[in-house]
Amino acid sequence: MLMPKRTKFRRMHRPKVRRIAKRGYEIAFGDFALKALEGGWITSRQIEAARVAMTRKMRRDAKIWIRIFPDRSITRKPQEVRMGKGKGLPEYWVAPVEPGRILFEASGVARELAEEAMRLAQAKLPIKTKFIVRRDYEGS
Amino acid sequence: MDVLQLEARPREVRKNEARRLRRQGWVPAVIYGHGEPTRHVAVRPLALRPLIYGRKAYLVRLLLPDSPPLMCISKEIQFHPVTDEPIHVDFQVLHAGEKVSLDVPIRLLGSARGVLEGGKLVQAMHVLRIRVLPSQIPDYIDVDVSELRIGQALHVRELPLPDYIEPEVDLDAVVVSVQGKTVEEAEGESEGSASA
Repeated sequence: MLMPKRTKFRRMHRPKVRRIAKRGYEIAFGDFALKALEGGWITSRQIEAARVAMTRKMRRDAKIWIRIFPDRSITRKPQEVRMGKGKGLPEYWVAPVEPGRILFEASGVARELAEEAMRLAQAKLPIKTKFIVRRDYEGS
Repeated sequence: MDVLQLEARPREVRKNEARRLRRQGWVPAVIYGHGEPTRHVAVRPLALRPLIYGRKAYLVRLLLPDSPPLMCISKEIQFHPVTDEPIHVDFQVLHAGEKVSLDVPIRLLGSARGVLEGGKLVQAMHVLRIRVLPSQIPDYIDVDVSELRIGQALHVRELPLPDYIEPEVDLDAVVVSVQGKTVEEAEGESEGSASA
């Protein structure tokens, strides 16, 4: 699963996603993409689940790009521990996603197959997304 | 090269005017050029469709109510990050004999040998920024990929461009490549087929 190799600080703040994407909202590599319509956090497990769902559907012909990276640690206190005594231990990693952000890109397959694969990936994600196609895509 | 005729109407520049125009179904635009006064106009989004979805470069003939038609290129079209609707267009006025920088679509010709051998064709660059005289703007840049094998790439410096076209990007940038299967993908496939 995706996570940073090393970080300067282990425990981070948890700011809300409040604005729309200012970068990373155009298709840069592939012909098809999944675009976030809402803001939120996507965990490394969700990214991996979506990637596996897409890969299984598209098989060998597709090339897939993951455009987000979970670089923010989320901590959790153990069960039955009283409040205080410091912040909990890092539990999992999330990628903060703004509305408009491209999450995944794909190329090398027919549009219908890509759409179906991304529909399966959508079901693994906690936010609303839409399937988009490169504006100058002419089909294959 | 095809010429697209667009009607534009002048717009005022004041607070919230652009937003008000978009609500009324217009797209704010600006017209500029060497030695030209900057003009703020608005155009209809439907008329922009060939510029947005077209796979070739167009010249734009802008019709303004208070001046003769202007020959332009669309220098930039901005899109809303979420809705993907056009929110602003830049038009640059052309002058005969004065070179202009613009993005021209790249068109791939032929099927790569590497793809027949099991590789994947990856087009890293879809438009090429070039500097050229207005009279010599090509519709697209044709790139023959039929000789590309797995592991090979075509760079900007290897494109068969005529002398009058100057590329304005890094000459070592990759335009298109044929990639073989990576170990990770092969693992992903076996995992996928095992549980499918």
